[in-house]
Amino acid sequence: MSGGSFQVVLSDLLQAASTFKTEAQTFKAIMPTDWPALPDGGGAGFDGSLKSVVEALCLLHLQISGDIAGHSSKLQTAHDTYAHDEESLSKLCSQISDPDRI
Amino acid sequence: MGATAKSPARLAAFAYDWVGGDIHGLSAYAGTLYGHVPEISDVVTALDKKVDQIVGDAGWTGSAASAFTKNWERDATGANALGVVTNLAGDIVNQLAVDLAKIENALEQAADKTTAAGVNIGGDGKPPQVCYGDRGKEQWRGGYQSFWQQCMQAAQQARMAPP
Repeated sequence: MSGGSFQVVLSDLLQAASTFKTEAQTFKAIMPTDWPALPDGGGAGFDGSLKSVVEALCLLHLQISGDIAGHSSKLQTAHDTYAHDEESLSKLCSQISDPDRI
Repeated sequence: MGATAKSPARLAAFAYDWVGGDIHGLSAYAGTLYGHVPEISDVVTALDKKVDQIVGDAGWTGSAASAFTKNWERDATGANALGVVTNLAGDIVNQLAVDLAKIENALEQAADKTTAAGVNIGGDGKPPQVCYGDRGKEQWRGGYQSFWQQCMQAAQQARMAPP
């Protein structure tokens, strides 16, 4: 279990977790996290609509950046779980080949 | 960086602020919104590539891999939708800037011609409230007053109309 493709997946998962973490930060920086000052459209109706749309865009953007960060955590968890399983199986194999150690 | 950001449209020339609104500010903000669109798609593209790599090239399979891929596809769709809506919001703001600049340009040109005919136009572009005894000047004043009202209505319409 400790050789071949399983190792490849482990390192790839770790790398993917890191990429998702970095990209979550990049994504979060795209739009302001607080409401930006908006230009005057010259009418209360337009200004109010623009404010609502921009607030919704900023909120959605913030939520998506959080989701991307969440994916990073999930990939890290998957990696840690597989790594732990691999370690347990390696230990078991070693004990089986040397029954005195069980 | 992948795709380049769309640019706001070139505005008709104008010198004052008679129809209302921060026209240059609106155009600049359209550019800000347009700038977000490729930034969003760059992140989605990078992460799509990474997911393809772990479930394709690296061969991560099983229920966890399937669930992860499905969840990411849902979020990638959401992020792409955010890009589309941001672009649309940019189009609306850009169109308002273009329309207001055209109206402002036309009004300022009309004011120049009316002033040249001897009619005093105020610093705010409003037509004079007095009538002229001179028939020619009065015709220019009346014509400008009518055009000024049309411009104000057109500006108001531009703020309400979808692109």
